[in-house]
Amino acid sequence: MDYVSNGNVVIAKESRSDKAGTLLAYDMYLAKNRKGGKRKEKERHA
Amino acid sequence: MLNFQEFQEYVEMNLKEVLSEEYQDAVVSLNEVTKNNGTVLHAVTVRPEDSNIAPNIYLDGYFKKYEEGADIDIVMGEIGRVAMDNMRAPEEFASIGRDFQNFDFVKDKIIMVAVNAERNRDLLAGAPHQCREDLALIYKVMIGDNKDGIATITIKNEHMAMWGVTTETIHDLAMENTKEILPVTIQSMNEVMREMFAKDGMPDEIAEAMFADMPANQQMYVISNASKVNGAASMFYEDALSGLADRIGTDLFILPSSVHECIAVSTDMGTPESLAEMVQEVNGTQVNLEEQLSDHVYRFDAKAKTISLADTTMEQLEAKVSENTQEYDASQSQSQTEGSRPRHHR
Repeated sequence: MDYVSNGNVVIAKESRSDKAGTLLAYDMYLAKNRKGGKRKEKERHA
Repeated sequence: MLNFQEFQEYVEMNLKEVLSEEYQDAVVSLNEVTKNNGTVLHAVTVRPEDSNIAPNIYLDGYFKKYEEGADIDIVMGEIGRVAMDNMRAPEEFASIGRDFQNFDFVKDKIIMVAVNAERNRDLLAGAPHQCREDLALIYKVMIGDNKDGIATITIKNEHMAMWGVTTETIHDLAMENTKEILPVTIQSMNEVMREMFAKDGMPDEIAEAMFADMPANQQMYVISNASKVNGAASMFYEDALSGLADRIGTDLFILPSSVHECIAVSTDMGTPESLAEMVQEVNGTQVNLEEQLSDHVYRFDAKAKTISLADTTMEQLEAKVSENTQEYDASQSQSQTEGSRPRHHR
């Protein structure tokens, strides 16, 4: 819900929807990269 | 079963039946508002007699409930309750119609917000902005905030003309005000996760064990602002990114996770192309269209303190856009830029 004032100026009520799903998805994907990165690092050292 | 058009007309015609006696003189009308990324929402406005401000209640979600089997009387009752609960606008909004015309009133409240330039091109045609790669910085007047979020009015060209100021003036004020009103926050992902889970009741020791700290160059960092709303614009404060890059010891890739925040990682954490694939997948599965920022990844060059697209170039994006222009124009021809547009019966 927002408000509309005279002259049709919209006063938007802005909020952040649940961000847990988005951030967890990034965390999961980047954890894979991290593992890949560690593997590559070990290979380099070997 | 009513279709969406019929549903809106039903609400307009019958809403007063569920409003209490004191609101029987209110004016009920339909309108459309275009939100971020061209998302059009359909609203019913209930303007109390003698009031210059009215709640604008979006019907799209209520129609979904009705479509899923909710009784229309119950849905109407809910809309009526929301209307009556919000009929008296917060005090700070009451005189906004008049105050908004006064530049001295708004100048300390102007903030900047990052949006996708291409997906908001209709809005940008009528609003001051500055482009940054495939993004645009637009400007809003922030007139309130509380624990649930912030209240804003998007600045349009006609407002700028009314105030007699230029885009540069608005931009300079926004750069100054935003870092004061909505200061940049940078937290490790694990810190954010620990906070979120603790809020949901997870004991601290379990949250600590689940999200233990890692070396700086293996971490993800969430860049936002103090309100966590529209925080992606914080990535344009180069000094903040510079501090993070120094801590990590590399340049940064910036992943535009939403208009509310970005994620920064070390450039050791993958190729820009693989990270862009990740962004596209998360956007497609987790992020509302209205909150998406971009499908592309940026590189922050710590030495030059600049941000640029990393997985593509503006030339490539512009070529793709011109291929799709006809299709895009067809889909947008019915919409309008953000603002309230009265609806008329067909």
